[in-house]
Order: sequence, then structure tokens, then C-alpha cells
Amino acid sequence: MLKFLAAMVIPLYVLVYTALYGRWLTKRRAPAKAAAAAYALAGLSFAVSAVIFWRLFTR
Amino acid sequence: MTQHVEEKASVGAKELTAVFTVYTASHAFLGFPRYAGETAYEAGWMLPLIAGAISIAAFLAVDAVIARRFPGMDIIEIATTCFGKVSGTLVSLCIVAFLLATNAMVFREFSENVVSTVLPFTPIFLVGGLAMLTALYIAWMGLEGIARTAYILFPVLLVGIVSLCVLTVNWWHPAWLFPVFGRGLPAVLQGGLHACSLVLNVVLLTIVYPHAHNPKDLRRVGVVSIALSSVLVSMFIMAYQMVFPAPGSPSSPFPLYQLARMIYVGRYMQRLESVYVFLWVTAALAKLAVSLWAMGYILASACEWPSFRPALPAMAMLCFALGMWPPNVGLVLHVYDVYYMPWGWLLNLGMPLAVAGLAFAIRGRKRGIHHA
Repeated sequence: MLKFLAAMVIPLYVLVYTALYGRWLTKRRAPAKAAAAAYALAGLSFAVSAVIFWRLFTR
Repeated sequence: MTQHVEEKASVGAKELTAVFTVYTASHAFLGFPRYAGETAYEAGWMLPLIAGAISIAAFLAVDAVIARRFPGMDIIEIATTCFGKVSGTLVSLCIVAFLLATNAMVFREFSENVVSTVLPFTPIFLVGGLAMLTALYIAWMGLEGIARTAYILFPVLLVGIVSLCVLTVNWWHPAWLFPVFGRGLPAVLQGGLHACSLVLNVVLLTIVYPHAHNPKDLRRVGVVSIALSSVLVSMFIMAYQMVFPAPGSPSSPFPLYQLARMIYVGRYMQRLESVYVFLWVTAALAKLAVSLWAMGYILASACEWPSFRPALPAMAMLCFALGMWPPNVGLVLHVYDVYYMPWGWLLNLGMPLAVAGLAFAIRGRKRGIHHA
């Protein structure tokens, strides 16, 4: 479990970085799909990493 | 559509040729020699040549359409202009998904190769993580950074592959290349078509159109890079099959390492595998970086982002996670043999051909109506 939590620090950082980019796009009045795509990519990379790291580090 | 991405690098023909040659020739060090030996036996060396010929024909057809009807546009802009924004986004997402699958597979294969051969006591996460970080850094530098890296690497790769073939000459058994057509002509032709899945130059060249210093040079870049990489890979497989007989190919997942270990040209010229490992690692990293850049760039174009860079860490994370998904490398090779190779060419060659062909027909019909 500790290994999993330690490994999740990087996906968490990537999630925050990409989500902040999405927020910046919203503030900059970019097209709606631009910000939505940034949030979707951030969520997808975090979710996929979480599932795979869970399988790798907790079994 | 791509005009939204600010980082419009301008790269010369020589650098682009180096990028795409290194990109495809690096398959000589990965799983392709194994696949070629398994599919065509003694005729494995013919597969890259057949795939190269088919890919050149496909690229020239797409290039002719772009040069005549859509000068200065890439394949995604063409799809958006002719079929609408939704279709353009769909084409982009399909290419990104294909590149993601390719990168995840190459990444896992490369990490396993390094861990199994040279770093047996190092965890695969560490090897893979460092590789992905390096690829991310190169991709972050943009197409110009990648092109410069590839331009420096290109002569090293060329000398490396040729020297590896020549230095094993004392182990060659030319008789092992017979019968010439191995498993038979139909199997060889089918294998050649399937090997087109690896020549991603076609789809990538249609994306870098707006970045070429002189777009007219791209035809030469495409033909030279595909032909050169096909010849290099073919040469490597031929030398490999003269040293290790083709029926044994399926049981040898690390062809470069095995071949390099065989080098014995006297007491002072032996066991040179440590030199070739550098070549192997650098070529794989360049390949990962090109794919990462392409994924980020296409996604940024499709989503109307001003820069491709913010997409890179998330794409690298996805590649890393997906690469670690299979519990063992056997499953990766199974996916490679059963799904990726037989169907990948449909996306790699079929998609640009279909988009260019349909766009050509639509533009032609509109012109006809306009003139009438």
C-alpha cells in the first residue's frame, strides 16, 4: 500500500499540472472543448495510472 | 486547425530524413526480426523491403493529393476542411490512440530488453521511468530538438547497423537463407503487408507537412527515409538469419544483443555488446520521443490548444502505465503478433489514403459543380 501511495505522487502531480492548464484555458476564454479536453486527459491519465499501479503494487 | 498550435517549428529536409529513418530503423533492435523469422522463415529479410515498397507507393499517392489540392496542409486540416470539425477530431483521436498503443508496446519491449540483458537486478519501473523521462525531455524540446538529436544519432545508427552485420561475417552461413521464399510467396507477401504497420512514416509525414522548411522536399524525405530504413532493417535481418537459423527466431527476443555477443574478430575485438547497447537505447528513446511529440501535437491541434507541451506529461504517464499493464512481456508479444501487426497497417496506410482520396473526390466534385 505504501509503495502504491508513493508511486501515485507522480500521476497526482501530472493531474494537477494538466488540470491547471485546463483552468488557464478557461480563464483565457479558449473554446469550451479545449478546456474540457485538458480536464479529460488529466483525469484519464490519473485513472489509468491508479488502476495499473494498484494492480502492480498491492498484489 | 493546426494554426492554433504556436510551436510551428521549421525543420530542414536532412533533419527530417534522419528523424524518420531512425524512427523506423529502430525496429531492427526490437521485436521485428523475431516476427519476420516467425512469419516468413528464411525470407524474413524480404518483409521490410516489401513493406517499404508498399509504404512508398501509399506515401506518394497521399503526397500527390496534398501537393495538388491542399498545399501546406496536414492530413488533419484536410479532414477538417473537407468533412467538418467532428471528422477532423475523430481522425486525430484515432491517430493518437494508435500512436499511444505503439509507444506503450515499444516502451515495454525496450524496458524488458534492458532489464533482461544488461540490468538484471534493476526494477523495471526504474529503467522504464528513466527512459520515459528522457523521451519526455526530448519531446518537450519540440520537433527541432528531436530533429537535431536524430541528425546526430543518424550516422551512429548507420555505422552501428552496418558494422554489426559486417563484424559477424565469420559466423555467416549463407545457405541458411535458402529456400529463398521461406514459407512460400503468399506468406511472404502477407507478412510484407503486415510489416507496413511498423512504417509509421506515412502517417507522421502527413502531419509534419506544415513544419517542413520547404514542403516540396517532403516527397524526397518520405521516399529516402522509408527506403533507407527498409534496407537497413532488411540487412540486419539477413545477417541475423545467416548467424541464427530462421526456425529459431521465435525463441530469440533480443536479436541485436544476441548478434553483438557473437562478435569475435580476434582477441582484441570481441564481446562488443556493451557498445551496441548504447545504440539500442538511444534509438529506442528517439523513437519514443518522436511518438510522444506527435501525440501531443495532434491532440493540441484537435483540441485547439495554443501549445502541445502541456499534453506531454499526461501522454507520457499514459504510455508508462499502459506499458506496465501486461503482467509479462509474453502478452505484449502476443498482442504485437495477433492484433498490432495484422491490423495496424489499416490505420497507418489506410487512414491517410482514405482521407486524401475522399478529400480529393469531394474537392474535385465541388470544383466540377463550380465550373458548371
